[in-house]
Amino acid sequence: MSRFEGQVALVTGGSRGIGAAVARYLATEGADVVISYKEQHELAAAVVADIEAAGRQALSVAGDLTAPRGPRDLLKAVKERFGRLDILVPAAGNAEIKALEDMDIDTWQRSFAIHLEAVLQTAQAAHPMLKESAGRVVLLSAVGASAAFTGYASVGAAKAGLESLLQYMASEWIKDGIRVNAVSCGTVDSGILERWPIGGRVRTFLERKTVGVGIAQPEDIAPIVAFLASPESRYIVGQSIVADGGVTLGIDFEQWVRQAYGQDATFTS
Amino acid sequence: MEFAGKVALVTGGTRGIGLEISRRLAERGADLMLVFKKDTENADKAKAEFEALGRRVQLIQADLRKPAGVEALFVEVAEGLDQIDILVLNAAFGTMGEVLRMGRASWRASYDTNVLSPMLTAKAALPWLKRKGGVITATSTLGAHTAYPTYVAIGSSKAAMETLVKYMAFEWAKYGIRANSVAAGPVETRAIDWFRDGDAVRIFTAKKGLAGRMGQPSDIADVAVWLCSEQSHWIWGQSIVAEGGILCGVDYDDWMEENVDRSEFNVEQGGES
Repeated sequence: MSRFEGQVALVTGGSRGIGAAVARYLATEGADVVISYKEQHELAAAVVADIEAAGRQALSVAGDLTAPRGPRDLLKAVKERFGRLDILVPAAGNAEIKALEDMDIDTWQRSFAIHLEAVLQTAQAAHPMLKESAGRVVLLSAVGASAAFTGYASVGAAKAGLESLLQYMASEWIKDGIRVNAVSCGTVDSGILERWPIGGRVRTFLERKTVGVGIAQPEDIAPIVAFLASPESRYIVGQSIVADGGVTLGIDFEQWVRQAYGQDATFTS
Repeated sequence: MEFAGKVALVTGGTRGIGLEISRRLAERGADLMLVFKKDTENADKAKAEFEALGRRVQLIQADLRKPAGVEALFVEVAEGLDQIDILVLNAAFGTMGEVLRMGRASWRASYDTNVLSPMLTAKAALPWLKRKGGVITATSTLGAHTAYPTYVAIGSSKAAMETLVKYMAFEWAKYGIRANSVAAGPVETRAIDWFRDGDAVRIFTAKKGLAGRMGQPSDIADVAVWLCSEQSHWIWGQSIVAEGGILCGVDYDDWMEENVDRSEFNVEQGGES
């Protein structure tokens, strides 16, 4: 399939996790891909090599998107190399797990800087090129924006802001022919669990709890992002599509009680 | 091909959005069981078209509003292709009317077709869907998420159907069966002229939406078929809204410009008149 032939995609945070999977997937479907990353040069080089192996052009740009000129410099590099942009996927992010009573202002600000401000500024800088190409923006949100996951407050609140930003971007940029949507992910096995103090417990919970399918791999999310960037989804605007493998689908009282209290739990008031 | 070796059962599959869904499934390799109520001519045309692509096509005439109709359908399934990998719950019916004028019979007719029938149909299809872990995709309406004029019987019954689909996803995930809905904005089908002023719906959709045109069955079918595909395998129990952006944002300026004589309200000065 080469439904993105002749198109250029920019994936921020493209050196690892969901970003890397999206970059590779878009390349296999015909897009030339620019990835931005902060400091993981070797990982970025591996993604670039995969994009080129798919027969597409690749560019990697190192930089900090939370720095004042970060987003503008990135889009300048895209314009200089390719002269166009069709698909923007701001995937850069880093979840720091902290309970609210331990939450410090720096952790909080770091989260809003990368998950919200950097997305806004990257999209703003990309707007002129996206307008020329009738482009598409696919944001990466999280079901943690509306459901509370242990220690996820700083990201969840920022992603709730992102869901609202989605509405505003989608409605303001409709007139420019730019289509904006989001994928709202459950927990994804993007290497992040290993850096969380509670990562092991989260993995165990998700492996048992998830309805239907196990914990998400970045490769499970990439085809959904690609769909929202493709003409097949032309009638979908301003939507956030929940892709969580069923984690937030329902409450299985019985399973929960059995796991917490064993098979023979009985109710006494 | 993506759906080669799979069999799809599509209710209301011979016209409108259902026909476009059937066409895409056929083009991408699926054999089809097309369920229709009475329009034999369209059914025959669809059968001929998909057989020309090399697909097996079984036409089944059934009235799914009655439990007996659903039973009869699955007798024919068992005697026919005897396989269901993809179930598309698309047949719909509704009586237009405002809440105040809505009678019990009209209400029930809408709920029978839009909620009871999908429940009975999916239940009856379960033994086949369980064999290899199938997929269920239901077509719904934006009118389940927001109110349209005279649309309460259809909108509210489709909202119930979307919740039914969520429960099917929840309960049948253990069989590897994935269930989702697509909620369509206004689309050019014969149902548009059930509205008091069908042209108003067309003009609104073309003017407010991203596409600058009325929605077409293919716009929705592409989403529905994607939900039937492996590409969406991480999406469980969701309703995907596809409405061309007509509900995106509230543009005061635009609305004021068209509807309000500002001098009448003295709003230019921002004061009260």
